[in-house]
Amino acid sequence: MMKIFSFRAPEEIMKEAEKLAELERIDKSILIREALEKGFERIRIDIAIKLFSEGKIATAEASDIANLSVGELMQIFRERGIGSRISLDELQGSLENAMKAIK
Amino acid sequence: MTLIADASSLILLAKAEILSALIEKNEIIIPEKVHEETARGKEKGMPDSFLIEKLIEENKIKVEKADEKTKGKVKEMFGLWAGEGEALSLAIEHNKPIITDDKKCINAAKAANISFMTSPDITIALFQKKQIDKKKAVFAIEKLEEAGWYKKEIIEIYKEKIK
Repeated sequence: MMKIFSFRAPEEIMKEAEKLAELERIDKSILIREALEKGFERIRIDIAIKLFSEGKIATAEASDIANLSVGELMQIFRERGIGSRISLDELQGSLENAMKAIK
Repeated sequence: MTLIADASSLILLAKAEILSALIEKNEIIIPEKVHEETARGKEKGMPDSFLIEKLIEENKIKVEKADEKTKGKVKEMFGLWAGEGEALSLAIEHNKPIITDDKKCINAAKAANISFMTSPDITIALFQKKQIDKKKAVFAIEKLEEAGWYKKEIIEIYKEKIK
């Protein structure tokens, strides 16, 4: 269901929307809706990356927020040079655990 | 041994091409949410997810429902939800180790007194237990390096462990 929402936008944005809508031969409102959807996609990813980088959320939690699969988000992390942030200290005991547990 | 895994670790192990070697002698259980996450990757055409989904279909990776009460406690105590939250819940319920390459999940596992292990350590353990040869172990660590998940200096330490 669509909801009506009115907002104030800078003149240059409206001019650009008109220009692009004309080029695409679509209604201005359709173009703005598409721009909003694409904008939200980006904002979701940016928020997920920010919270993950700050150590506030885990990987799958970030993928949930970004509305992406874990694999896709890990790919974005890689492209942006964001790693797991795991330190060597935090890995202490991991190998011993693996040696004990794995057959 | 039975091990519980989260989605990012399954993806890294699949990328490193050692997931099949690991499940040969070990049972892997994942919670429903992790399965959802890997299935979503398959829908989006992520190659690693295809292998994971195939192993689930063949019942080589088992899917279990995590208890709601445990999930609630894990969320409340460690602020962990989504796949990592459910994976840690299952690990607590079964009192089994968790495979995770997530910083927040590692620290939560430590606080919950649950044994944890990461993909590079699994690579080294499989190599030291002669489940994979040196060539495969080197390849796996190189793939993990390519994934960009671990800092270069950490990867170098693991490379040294194979020599």
